[in-house]
Amino acid sequence: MSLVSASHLAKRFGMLHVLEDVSLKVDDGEVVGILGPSGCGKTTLLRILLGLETYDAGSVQTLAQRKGYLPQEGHLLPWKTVLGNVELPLALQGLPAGERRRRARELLPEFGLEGFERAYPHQISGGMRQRAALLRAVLAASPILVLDEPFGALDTLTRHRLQDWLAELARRREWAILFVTHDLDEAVVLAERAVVLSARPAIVLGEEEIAIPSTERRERLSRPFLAARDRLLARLEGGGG
Amino acid sequence: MSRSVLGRPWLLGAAGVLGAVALWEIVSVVFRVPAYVLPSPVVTAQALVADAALLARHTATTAAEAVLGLAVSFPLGVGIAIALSASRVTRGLLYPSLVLSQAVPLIAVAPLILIWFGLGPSAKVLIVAFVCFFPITVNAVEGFGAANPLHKELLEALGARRRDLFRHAYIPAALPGIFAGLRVAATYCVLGAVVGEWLGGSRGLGVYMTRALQSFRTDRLFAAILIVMLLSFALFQVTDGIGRLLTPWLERRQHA
Repeated sequence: MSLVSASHLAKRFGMLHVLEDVSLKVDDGEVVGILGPSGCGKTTLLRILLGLETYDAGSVQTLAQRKGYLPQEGHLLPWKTVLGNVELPLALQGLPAGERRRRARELLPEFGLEGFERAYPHQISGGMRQRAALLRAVLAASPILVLDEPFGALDTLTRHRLQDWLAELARRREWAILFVTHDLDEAVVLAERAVVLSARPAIVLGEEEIAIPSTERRERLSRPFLAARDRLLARLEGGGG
Repeated sequence: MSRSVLGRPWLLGAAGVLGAVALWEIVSVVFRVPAYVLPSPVVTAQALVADAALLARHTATTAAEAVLGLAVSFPLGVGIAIALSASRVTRGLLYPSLVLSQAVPLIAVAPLILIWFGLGPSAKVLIVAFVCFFPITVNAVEGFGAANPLHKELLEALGARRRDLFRHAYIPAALPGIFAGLRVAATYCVLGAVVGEWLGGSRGLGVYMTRALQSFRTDRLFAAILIVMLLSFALFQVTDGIGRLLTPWLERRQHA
């Protein structure tokens, strides 16, 4: 049973033809990356799957009412502390404060946020902000995490670290994740399956299984890594984009 | 030296005020200005001390009217701002009337309110509320407008309902604006109460001022003006302090 599936989605904004024909699905426990050039409508696609945007043709099915959503820039609420931000989904579910704190505190160390509960977002680093935003998504306890260019705004070193960290965490916890990226490396590090989109108006150029053992994924110059990267690149370029 | 003064800007402010008072004293002594034209600071202080008990009673009345009026104007101002922000229809319908209401001179509105609601304190409270709600509304509307639509989307994706959006996104986004408006209102509210008392009534600094004027006791008038200034300043500081407490996430420089 798929957690999220879309078939033959199409979307226009006035004269702008964004999505032409996009189908995809995410099964339980699966990490799927949507890879495509900048501006190809990846964010629009996610927003449609999240129910934040309408579509003109096709269909969307989703099992989850709530989605653990990590938007591109994280969007932590500036008036809430780190703790206040990460426990927000629990507050929205009406959980009492003590229970919210307990659940959030349990996960803070694993997300490298211990000791920063009372800091405001502007007081912590960009990498910590994204980890906090991810923890917020995780605490939404949805069956699927939806991540929009999760580490796109970070410097290279921090980005690599967080990619490796998330890849390891996702496998250990068997999370289902749907993420979008324009970064080939990110797709190879994180995804078990990559859906390659063309430039706007987007169609699916193809799908690639990325069968690299998790221990080797962080070796960005290893032979299997580069081979997977080349296959994705070939798909991207082969699409006449 | 200059560094330590700049580190505490209120020292500069105090120095400025002291300088102005000194200049005032010098001018009134050197040019022998009659006290009914311009009482010197010393004469003003003497009037303040001599009339202290009476002034205290009038001040209590004025302060109560000002604070109550401000307290009424706060929910009124924010409520109107929410109505204006809720839809384009309400904004189009109400905003021009509100702006026009502020174009009517207070000196023309206040007597009307006294005719309708009598000479007692409730009429003064209404006058204060009329003066104070507008800056709160205008700034709160700005504040609600500054709310980030992406925060709204994020909350919706996490399952937020409409009232959750208000609580977690709109209200906090508007708080700095609301307090900017409240600070302006806090400086207006004493003025509103005094104008109301000036036009009619039996208690309050405005009443005291009209009586002082009629008997050419300019020194008493100045004493009352001094109290009005101090009262306004105190209310501003209190409002500012509450605002700081409620918006701890805002980064502030060390300016007072």
